[in-house]
Amino acid sequence: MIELRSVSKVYDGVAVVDDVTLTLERGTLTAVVGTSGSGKSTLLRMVNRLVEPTSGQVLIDGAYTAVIAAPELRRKIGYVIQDHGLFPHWTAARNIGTVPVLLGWRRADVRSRVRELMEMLQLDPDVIGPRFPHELSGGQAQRVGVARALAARPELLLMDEPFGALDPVIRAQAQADLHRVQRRLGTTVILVTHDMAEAIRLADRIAVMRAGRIEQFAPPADIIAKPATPFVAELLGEGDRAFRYLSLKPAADVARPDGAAEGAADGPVLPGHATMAEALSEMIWTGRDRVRIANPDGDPGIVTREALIRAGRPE
Amino acid sequence: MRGGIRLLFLPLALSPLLPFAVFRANRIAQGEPRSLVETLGAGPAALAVAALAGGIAALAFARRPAWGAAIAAALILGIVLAAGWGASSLMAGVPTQARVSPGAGFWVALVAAALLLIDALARMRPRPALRLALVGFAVAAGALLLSSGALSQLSVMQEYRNRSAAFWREGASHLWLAFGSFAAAMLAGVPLGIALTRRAGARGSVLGLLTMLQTIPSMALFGMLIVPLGWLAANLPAAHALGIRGIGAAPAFVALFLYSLLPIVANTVAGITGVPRSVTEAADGMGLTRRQRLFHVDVPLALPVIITAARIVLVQNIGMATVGALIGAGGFGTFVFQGIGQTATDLILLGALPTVALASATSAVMDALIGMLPGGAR
Amino acid sequence: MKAAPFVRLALWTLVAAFVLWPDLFAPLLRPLAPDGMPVIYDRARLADLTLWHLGLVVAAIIPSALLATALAILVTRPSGAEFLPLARALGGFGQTFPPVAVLALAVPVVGFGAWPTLIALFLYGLLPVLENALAGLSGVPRAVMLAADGMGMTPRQRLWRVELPLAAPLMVEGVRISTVIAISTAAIGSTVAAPGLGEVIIAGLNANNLAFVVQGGLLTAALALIVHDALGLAAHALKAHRRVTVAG
Repeated sequence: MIELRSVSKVYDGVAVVDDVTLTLERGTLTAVVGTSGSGKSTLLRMVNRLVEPTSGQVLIDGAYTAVIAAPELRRKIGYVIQDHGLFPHWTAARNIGTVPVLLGWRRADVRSRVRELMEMLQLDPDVIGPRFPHELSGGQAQRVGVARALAARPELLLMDEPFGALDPVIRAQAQADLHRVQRRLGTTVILVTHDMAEAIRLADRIAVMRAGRIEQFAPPADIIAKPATPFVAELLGEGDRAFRYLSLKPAADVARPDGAAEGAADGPVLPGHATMAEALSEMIWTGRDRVRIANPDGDPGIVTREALIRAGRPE
Repeated sequence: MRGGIRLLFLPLALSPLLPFAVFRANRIAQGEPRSLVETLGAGPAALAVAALAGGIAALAFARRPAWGAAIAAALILGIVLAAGWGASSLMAGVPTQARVSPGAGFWVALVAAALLLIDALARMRPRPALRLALVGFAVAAGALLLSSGALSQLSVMQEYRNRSAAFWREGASHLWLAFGSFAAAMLAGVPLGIALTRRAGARGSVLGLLTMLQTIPSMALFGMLIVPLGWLAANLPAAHALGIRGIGAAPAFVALFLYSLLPIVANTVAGITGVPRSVTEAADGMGLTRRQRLFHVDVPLALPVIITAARIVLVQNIGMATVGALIGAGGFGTFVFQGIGQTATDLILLGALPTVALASATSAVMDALIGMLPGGAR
Repeated sequence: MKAAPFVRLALWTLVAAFVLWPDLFAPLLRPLAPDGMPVIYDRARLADLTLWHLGLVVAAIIPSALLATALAILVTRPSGAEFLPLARALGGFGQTFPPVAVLALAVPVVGFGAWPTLIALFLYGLLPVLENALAGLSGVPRAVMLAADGMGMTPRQRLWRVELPLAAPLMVEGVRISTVIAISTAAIGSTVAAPGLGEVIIAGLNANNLAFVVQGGLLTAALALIVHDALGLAAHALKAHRRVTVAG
């Protein structure tokens, strides 16, 4: 559990982070969203003490971080940054092994850990491992950066705009990877981003920041349903709010068993984890008012347009 | 001024404890140290120390770098004037062949004050126009100081008076060597650089050759050039008529010309090839011919880089021209090497100080010019 | 570039042969010497002079480079950041001092011989290394520094494992510039009686014996070229595996 208690950072009389109190549960992914200059990166860096708070405390699992030596603290916390910050004079493998080496792991342990991580992130250890950062593609470098952050099995991972420099296709892939890895390892993640769509897609809870203060801290569905301030609403983009909301909910929630009364729909069967947004999109695109959705327990269910529209408006 | 830079106050404050001047019965005799009190007399010495203390206090409280710079400059002026005045008082009533030169105390104070001035100027980050004005001010102040006679009893100035004709003659040949060879190198180097941007194949070998030339130690190149130029003078009457001789200004001029080529050619190439692709493509897209693009786009954009080379070359030439004296090319080096030969420090200084001043002023002016160009880096 | 190793080998061989058995080359130089004058410098062995020349340079440049690097490290740490503008300004300003002036001004302080030359080489050697080390150390990309801190490196670990290796090619480039200037200045040092190849040139100029001038000049030039080339190889080896990440 990460606790920030009345944390502030003041530079030259200006509060970049202004009295922020947040509690983040273990194993969750929290996104901190805001425009540039909102203080979100500063907030993140106060967790691993790259920035020392002017006032307030940060606690990790009940322990005050201020009393732990900064390097020791940081070795226990994974850290990923936008321009990946890989060490240009080290190979990908050596980059990934940075923290284990700092911690004095045995060489064989480092090597096997590096292999394990590279495999988990779909990087071929024998091909990518000996390459230098400038020989990697943007997506590969980003994954090496994530692997480096995870190397010493941190329970907390800080990510500062980790996907900012990637093109849309690779970014989607990287987001999916993060989701998968986070689920598998149960790591607590704090992700700083300016992209609300990314936050909605990945986060368990979203903290919206503006001018150093938290405007709203809530699960994505609540953020979309009830934006606390006009600024949050603006970040969401009024236009496709309903669609964003639908994209959070599985279509299976409103599916009915394939009853004869409805008349069996034809056309493709959507996968069971499809969201309501995907179901609606399929209907619009194929000109139907109902689609089938796979059901692991039996025959495909039916999702109707009316059911989606009803579900798309939060009570 | 704040923080660690205040460490420099210490040598400044302690400098009055060191001998302020050195007195010698004649220009090559052993020097005898003279304290500040012995040099200036007790009353003026006390006044000078008080002024120094006041200056240090003012520096300590100066909030803005500009104030710090002004106070440090005033201190430097005061230290130099005190040396001149001290020399006059020590020279009063002693034979004219006696010499007074600044002592350790003077140098310690001067260097500390100069470092404080440099630090304050570096923190001020003056705009190019202001920098240019400051150089002009410093040159004018220096000229005024030297011509006022306030320093006339210092040994360097006596040395100057004894050979003022030679000083200006050697100064003229120094300038001619440094700036003339620079001009020739610009005339040859910039077109060569432009040509090389079009012939990537020849670029490596030409730049490699020029790098080799640049690497050859000055004395070796100056000396070895005597051979071909001597041959030219002996076998080509026209060359002889032009004043080309084996020794003298010709080999020095040629050597400086050769040394100048590398920075100019390399920076011309780097400047032009460094023009962003988007810009050259836009120029081509708007229908500029190659020549139009060269003169309206490439060269103007490369200018800061080319002028940077000019600065490097000028500073290098001014320094290296001193070596020319070894092969009879004249210049301020003449005094330096004569001074070495006679173990006469004053004579060495007579050659070295104007060289250093010339190089520093040129460097500062060129830097300011680069800053004034659109797209200039500094 | 394929020819480079052969050219290098040929230059080394030629210089070694000239230094060890200069008499072999006497017939080539004979036309340059006035009648009745010696063709090959005879007041000292060329091999000894070459060693002296190199020795002076090495003895001055090693401490000079170490001190300059230490200074550069100092002023790029948070505790020394105060002196960074001064160091930069001095690095730039100091290089407008002609080496000859530094050399000449050292004579009154320490007298004639090897010492003034050593002092001049030492002082003048500081600046290029300082300037390049500053450029190298302050040119390490921000993201890399942030990552090093974020990984939990101590300041010392960051310096040794990240900053210095990344700045090394530029530092070696600085040493290369310093060394080439030092070889040149050491030659001029012969005017203040420092032992070295410069004395062959000076002797030739004084006696109007061009054979001396040319053999001294060629050897000094070859020495500078060989050292320049070797240090260039060293700098290249240091950055062979990566793109140069630091801006000059």
